[in-house]
Amino acid sequence: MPRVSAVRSWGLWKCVAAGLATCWIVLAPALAQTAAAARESEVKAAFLYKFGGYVDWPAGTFARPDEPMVIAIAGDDEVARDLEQLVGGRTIAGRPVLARRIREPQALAGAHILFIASTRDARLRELLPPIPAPILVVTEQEGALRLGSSINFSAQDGRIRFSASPAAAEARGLRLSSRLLAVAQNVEGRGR
Amino acid sequence: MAFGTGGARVRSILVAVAGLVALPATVAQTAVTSKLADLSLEELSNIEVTSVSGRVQSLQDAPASIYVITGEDIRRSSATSLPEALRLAPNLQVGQLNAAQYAISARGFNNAIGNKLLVLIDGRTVYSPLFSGVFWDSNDVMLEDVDRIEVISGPGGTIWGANAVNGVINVITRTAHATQGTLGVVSRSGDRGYEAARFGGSLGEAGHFRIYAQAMDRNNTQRADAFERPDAASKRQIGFRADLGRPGDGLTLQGDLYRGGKEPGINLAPKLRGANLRARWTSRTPDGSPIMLQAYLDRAERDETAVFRNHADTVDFQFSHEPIMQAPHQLLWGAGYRRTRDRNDPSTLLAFIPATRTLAWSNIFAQYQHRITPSVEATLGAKLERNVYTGVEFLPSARLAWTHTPKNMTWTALSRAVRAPARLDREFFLPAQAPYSLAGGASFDSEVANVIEAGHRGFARGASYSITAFHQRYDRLRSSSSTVPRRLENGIEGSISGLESWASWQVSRAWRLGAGYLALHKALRLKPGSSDTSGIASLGNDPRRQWSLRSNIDLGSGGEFDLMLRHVGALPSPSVPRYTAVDARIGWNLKPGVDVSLLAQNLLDRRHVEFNDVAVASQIERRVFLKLAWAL
Repeated sequence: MPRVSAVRSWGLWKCVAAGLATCWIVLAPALAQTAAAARESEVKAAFLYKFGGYVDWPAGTFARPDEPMVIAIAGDDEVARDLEQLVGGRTIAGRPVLARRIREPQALAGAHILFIASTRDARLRELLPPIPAPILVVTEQEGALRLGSSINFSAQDGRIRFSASPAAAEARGLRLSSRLLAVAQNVEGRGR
Repeated sequence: MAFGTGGARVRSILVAVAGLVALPATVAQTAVTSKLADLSLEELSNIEVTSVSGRVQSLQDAPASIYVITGEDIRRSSATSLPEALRLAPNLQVGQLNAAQYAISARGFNNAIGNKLLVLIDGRTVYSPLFSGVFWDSNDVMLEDVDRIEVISGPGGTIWGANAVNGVINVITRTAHATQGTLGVVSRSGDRGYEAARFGGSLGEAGHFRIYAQAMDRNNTQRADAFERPDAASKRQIGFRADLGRPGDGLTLQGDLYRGGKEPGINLAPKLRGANLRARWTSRTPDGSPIMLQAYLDRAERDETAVFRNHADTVDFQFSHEPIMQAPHQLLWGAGYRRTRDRNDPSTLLAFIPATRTLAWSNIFAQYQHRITPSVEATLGAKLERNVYTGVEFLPSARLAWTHTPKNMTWTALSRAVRAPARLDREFFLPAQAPYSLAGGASFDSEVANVIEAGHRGFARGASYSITAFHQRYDRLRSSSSTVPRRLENGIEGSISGLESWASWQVSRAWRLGAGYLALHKALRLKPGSSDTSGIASLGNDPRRQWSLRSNIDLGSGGEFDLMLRHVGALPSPSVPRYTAVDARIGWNLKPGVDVSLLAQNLLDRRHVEFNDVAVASQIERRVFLKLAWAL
């Protein structure tokens, strides 16, 4: 008995499935462009680019006024790809911006901003100390500011936020602008 | 066969649509990325992002077969309970037994009393000391508050201990900070549904808390001959969580209380009572090294007249410490103690003798990691675990990971895993009074698995993928003697080999596709001297193939359309035909905080059997739920 009705209703469900598939084919190309949300990696890439305008590097970091600002990316090819796409033709304070993917810490020479994708705590502890002084270190993991990172991304309510540590930045000879600190969700040392 | 062609048809549609959408989407994407650079810092902070993986990514460098079900995956699925959500993991086998009970396993041995998978909910082990497995009808969480479910297939004994032989499921709920405000959820179909409410608030400088309550109810399921199985039952659960201090440096307090089932209970719907209370403290020592202390109490009662009449009270302590080491060395070590007082009064069918028994497990473990070159890392670990039946068990593992590029890693691992005896193996008597046909297993020893695995995980062109091959060699698996009364002994050996793979592809910013494939080859045999002809079949009933396809589409203006196709191959003994189930979801965000969705399960077939003898098993029917979620 159940078998028979299963066969009979198959026709109906086939129609429903075909209907849904048709809607899908018609809608899909349009919806790809209308959705408001952005990918996580491109938002992070945009932040990395913007940060450069809100940080003072020590005098003498840049030899020439048009020396490029170099943003190094470790461990996240998606962010790197989006950043490469985003910085093309753009400048920060008149400097062209370069995105550079790095695998080894030694490749940091000449970088001004370094983004380290999330990794294990212990690995981050191992990576942070040898980073040379005037580099703005940006991370994306809990507790990273206390390990010596200057800016840390976090995800909240489907949005990317960041916290900042002026002390960690100062230890690397950098000053974070009050404008940046005003937007930061948490400022280490200021409390909530 | 109708399902087969249906599956193939939907698959070809998926492929065709993929071609249509991919092109314009990539073009649009470049323009949007570029526009983001013109936004201010504030505006960027307010952009909603499609995937927020955060901590999940750090699992990417663990050299093991790990699949992560995110909270967003669950929200976009047709799952209405924890076992249904586990169907999202390609490396798990999930079979529904009746209204609320499930058989769930990884890498084979799936069974209503499966015993090779370790399940934790927020760090609390939920297996029953009766049989070292999970009663899925007793363990629920509020799905809306789940942050992620980590499913590790393969042995995890070095960190998680005995019983993590074939896999570990880690259910992790969101922090109290991430669940602020009021949320109400109602999800109903004709014959079942659930209601849940949660309120999260602030404790000022101290931290945050949430409280929740939920109720579930299910109607009887039917057999193929339309006979109603009396498994209808309802369940109510309340609980709380408080997170005090800061992440990585604070205290988490958590507890749940539930009541449910039938009264008087029956095997299909036992009377259920339970409660637990957990405290977890994480901090750093003065030199900055992370330290964790956890303690919990757990009571689980399960009562019915015929089979199990079980009361288990457990206390569990754990400690771990990650001392600061000179690079490239890392060390994690810890210890644990667990004690259960288990009482199982004789039922009409069977008895555990003695009826009351106190069990204890203690362990120490250490895991050492060494970065041999910048891209090659070795991990050596071992755990010593003591149980009351077999004494000290040794659970070592060695892993090697080679990271080619930040997101491409090849790994291999060797491990030894052990399933220590449970009460069912040693103290189980059938019937409840002499003369017995089954009289315990006084000399039943631990089951042992030696496992070799190799895998690769990668990321290319918006798609991530993982593939793992494994060979698990077992010895001393459970069988019974041929002389009457029969006794449980360790008379089966053999191997299970297989392949686990999955991929996920972000086709466009609005469309994500996923696929999973699992293949198992079982070669179990009786050891010399054993003649238990039904022993191998009773160790588990597994398909040789299983695959799934998933699609999540944002329709724009708050609309969402999600599909999941799930194919499970035929089960051999008892024979269960293969089936393909299609689940669909249409979601609509009416206004901020108000979501309506239509969830359909088994859209293409009216009913099918997932486990047990087809003639008497519950038919799993097509169901449509209307769900309303309302956040204040």
